[in-house]
Amino acid sequence: MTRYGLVIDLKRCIGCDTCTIACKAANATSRGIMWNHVLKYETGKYPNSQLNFLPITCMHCEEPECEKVCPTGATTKRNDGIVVVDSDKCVGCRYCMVACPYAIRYFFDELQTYYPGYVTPYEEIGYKKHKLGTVQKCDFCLERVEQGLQPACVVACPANARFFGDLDDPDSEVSKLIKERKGFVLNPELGTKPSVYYLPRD
Amino acid sequence: MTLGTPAPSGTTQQEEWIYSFCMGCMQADCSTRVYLKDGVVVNIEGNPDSPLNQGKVCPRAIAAIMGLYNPYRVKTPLKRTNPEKGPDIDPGWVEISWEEALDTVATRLEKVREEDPRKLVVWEGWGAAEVFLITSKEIEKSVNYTHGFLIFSKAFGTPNEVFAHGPLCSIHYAANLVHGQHPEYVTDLQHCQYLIAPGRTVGPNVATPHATKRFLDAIERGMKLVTLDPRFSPEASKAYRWLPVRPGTELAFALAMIHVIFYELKKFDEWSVKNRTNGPYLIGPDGYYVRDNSTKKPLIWDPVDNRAKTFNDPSIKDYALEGEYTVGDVKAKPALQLIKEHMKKYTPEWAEGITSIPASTIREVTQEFVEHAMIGSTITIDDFEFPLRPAQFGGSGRGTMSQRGGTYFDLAGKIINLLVGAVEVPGGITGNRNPGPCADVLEPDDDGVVTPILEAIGIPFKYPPEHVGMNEFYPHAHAAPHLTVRAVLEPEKYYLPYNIEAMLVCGANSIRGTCNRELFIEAFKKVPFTATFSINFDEVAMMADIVLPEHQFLERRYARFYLVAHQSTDDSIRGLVMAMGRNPVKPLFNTKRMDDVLIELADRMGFLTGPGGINDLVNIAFQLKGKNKLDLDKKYTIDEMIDRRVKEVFGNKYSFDYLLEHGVIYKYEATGKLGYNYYYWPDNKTRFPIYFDRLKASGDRMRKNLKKHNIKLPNWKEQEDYFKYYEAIPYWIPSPEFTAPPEYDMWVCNWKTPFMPFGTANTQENAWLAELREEDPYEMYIWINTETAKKKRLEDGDEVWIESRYGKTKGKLKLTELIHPEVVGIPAGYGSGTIMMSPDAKKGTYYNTLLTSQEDTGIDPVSGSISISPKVKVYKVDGAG
Repeated sequence: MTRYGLVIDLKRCIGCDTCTIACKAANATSRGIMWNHVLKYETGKYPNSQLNFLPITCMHCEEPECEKVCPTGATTKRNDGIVVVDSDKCVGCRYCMVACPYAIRYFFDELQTYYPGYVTPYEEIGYKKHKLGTVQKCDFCLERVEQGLQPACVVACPANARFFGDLDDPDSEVSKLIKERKGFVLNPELGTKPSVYYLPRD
Repeated sequence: MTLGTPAPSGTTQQEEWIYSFCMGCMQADCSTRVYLKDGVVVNIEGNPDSPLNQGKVCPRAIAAIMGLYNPYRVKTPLKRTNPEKGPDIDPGWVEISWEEALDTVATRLEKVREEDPRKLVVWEGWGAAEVFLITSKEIEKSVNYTHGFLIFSKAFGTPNEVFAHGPLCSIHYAANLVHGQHPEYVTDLQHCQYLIAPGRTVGPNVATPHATKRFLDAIERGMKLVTLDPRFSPEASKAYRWLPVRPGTELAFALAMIHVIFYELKKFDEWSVKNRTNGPYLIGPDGYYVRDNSTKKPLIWDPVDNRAKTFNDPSIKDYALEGEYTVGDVKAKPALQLIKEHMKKYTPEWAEGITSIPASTIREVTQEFVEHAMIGSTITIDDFEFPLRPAQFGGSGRGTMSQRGGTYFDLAGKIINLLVGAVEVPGGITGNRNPGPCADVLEPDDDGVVTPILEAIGIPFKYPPEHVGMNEFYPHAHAAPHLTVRAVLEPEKYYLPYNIEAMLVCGANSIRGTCNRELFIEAFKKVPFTATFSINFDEVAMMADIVLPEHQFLERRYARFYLVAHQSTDDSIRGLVMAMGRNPVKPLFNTKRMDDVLIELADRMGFLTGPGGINDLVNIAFQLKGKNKLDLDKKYTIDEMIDRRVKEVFGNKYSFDYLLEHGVIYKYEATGKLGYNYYYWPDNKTRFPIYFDRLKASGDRMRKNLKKHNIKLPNWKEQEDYFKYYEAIPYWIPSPEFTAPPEYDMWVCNWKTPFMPFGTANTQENAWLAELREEDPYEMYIWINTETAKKKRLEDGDEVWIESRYGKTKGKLKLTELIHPEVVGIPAGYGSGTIMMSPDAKKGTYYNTLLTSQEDTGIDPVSGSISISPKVKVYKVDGAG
């Protein structure tokens, strides 16, 4: 059974936000909503400073907190591992946003165009994908993946730092990377079992 | 438009996509796919077929969608009705037809041309990087033009081409001189094991896809990176060492490295210095080569046969690098001896005082560098044995070279690399000439030294000066908008024998992109007629009499011939000859392609056809031969010219249409051993200058010329201060910033980021980029070291003034560990806009008000580069200064 997962190589990530904007362009998210974003933070004290990048997106958890709390069944985890929101069933209660420990769900409550007062032809088409009053998030570019393509963020990354594939296939690139480079997940203590793995920077 | 086959990595909303290429930075070498739904652009991805970007992009390539659909764009030709001009003054635009616009511009310019074509200044910038008739097309020494030209301005007859790109990034002199190549030199990331990167990006800091991949592969392979930079950058996060440095002091670091090599390590590549540099050439008391009386060839001293011989004497048994010798009645020393003596005072302790880098670190880094250079080692490529030197110092960077003394820094870096033999060999620095290595590149001149080109030759002196950009007084300067406006405003002071009557601005905004903004505004006000090609209402558009609206780049059908490697090189681009095609998106507004308008203007003014006209120069610039040559008397479209060029480069079975259908056409002309310049001139067959006699000669020539005409250099209180920068061996000269009053207790520096490396493609107004930069925790802030802030009682988020002796700017503080304690840092080039630009455009802190281009204070007298890191004071906006 296919179980999709994402691997992000922190040794290669340069914090350029190409993944962020590739996601935005492919999914036409409204101003203020970033399904993928990159945390940039420093550690250490001068002159032993360090700059760190942590791209964050939906973790498509094996044990998603969001699915547990959704009152309408709008949020479900598919057989292939992708956690999706059916916007026709979502009533916008936002319980899932409270439950999600990674804070990667977004409430689409107001259409904010990029040039205030003006809707670009791109937005005219793109915003039709989204339903006002519902919660949205990364869906691993489901439509592309179903056609055998890769998610937009993976395709775009100029650092070749993102990988996507079947976690249940031991010979897949993602499985091998996780094994060889000792990939880890964020906040394993929460028991969410993310499908997004990070390769350590050192 | 062309329908492509469904892409393996394409978006799923629709199958329609077209090949394109990006203009989100000056490289303009990323081939892309533009996805459409009913003619609307819905996504942009990289083209996996390009050997260069290999399917990858950066944020700007994708953000182009918002650039295309930016409602603040210029939509029609305009003329002004308000005679008062200024970036924040309503021009009273009236829409006019293209016919009226073309007629007005052609009539005005034709009048100027009849009076004196020099009275037109053509401004060129990165916005015009893909425009054939304006792109700065440097013709190399193999053709009969020693200097580049812009086709349109040359055909018009004006020498006054002013490059908006470059006053803060004049990085070419040393590459033109030492490598005999243009525009610059890059790092060989395929073989390098130890890279010292001063004040520059190697790719990731601006997210250029191909350089980024190459960089990360090198890091993965174990290359050690040392970043010499006041701020801790994304590249520094992958580095072996970060050397925080006071900006503008990197020359001291370089000089100390040379000292350590000579006096402490006492180890350098003797074979390379003896055989492949002018290090053994004997220098007389006048500072020039001692020459053989009959052949006039430079002499060396053979210590085995104990006599002087010409450098190419086949009986040479060895070359002296040290000592003092008598030739005839002249006492002489090998150049290397002079260099060594010169460097004695530049100890690591001395350098520590200037740079703040600990002396022990300078020693360690120099030792590591020399060790990693593996002096004496070789590598065999295609059964040819090359020296292998996998350590490099430098690579062109504006952080270090946009400084007074920046040319000396670059030259000092050359000395470091030459001492370990790491120039133009595998592992070492290499020039990035297009299309790559060939026999011409390192061809020696009559003195046996690499023939210099372009800026290293310089513009010949003429009095009164021909150029408004004062090139006669700054013969090696790269770009002189800051000198241009001064000469426009005070022609008598600058000995200019004519007044400027017209400006034609092509993808250039020097009002924002230089400094001393008020001089630019005054100059544009003074000149009676300005026409601009504009995508948006930037500062220069607001000074125009006629605005010619240009297509946003996605709307332009074009070809781009891959120019040069940027930042780095490897086998994927060595010897690469490539063209990219762009299929246009249907233009949204009443705009045109710049080349089409220029052809029309040239036609109306009578210099499209005939000898010396556009066609003639296109033939020369594109090196069109035989059937591909343009008939001088016919009118061609730019598409037809592009078609000829495609055929000339790739062969007659190719065409512009083919290129548009396939996205890229490429071939490799110099691969394997042919991809390294050493192959063509190995051993002692050519020599790199390590002693810069040509620079000294240039200074001496200027002295003679000034004396001959009994004139002084304009705007230099102390004439000698200019000549200090024209000596044969680089040395430390404290800039005027070192004597700033103590209240200016900090340095300021600037850097490019992935969101705004340039203003090209209107990055400032782009709403997607605006959101990314405003969300970013560092991008829109003034960086200050946390400890320093504490001492100054400043807090995170405080609004402060940053003030130099030349201007002030304000913004919000970000307290951080990522910057040198004596430095405040301001990213990118935000905070400058006009009343007609989007509200996003003006947000942020404008850097350039802090700078001065006053000749005797703020520029490097060789490159013309503006000093980018003055001393400043920092204080709260609502507090006392």
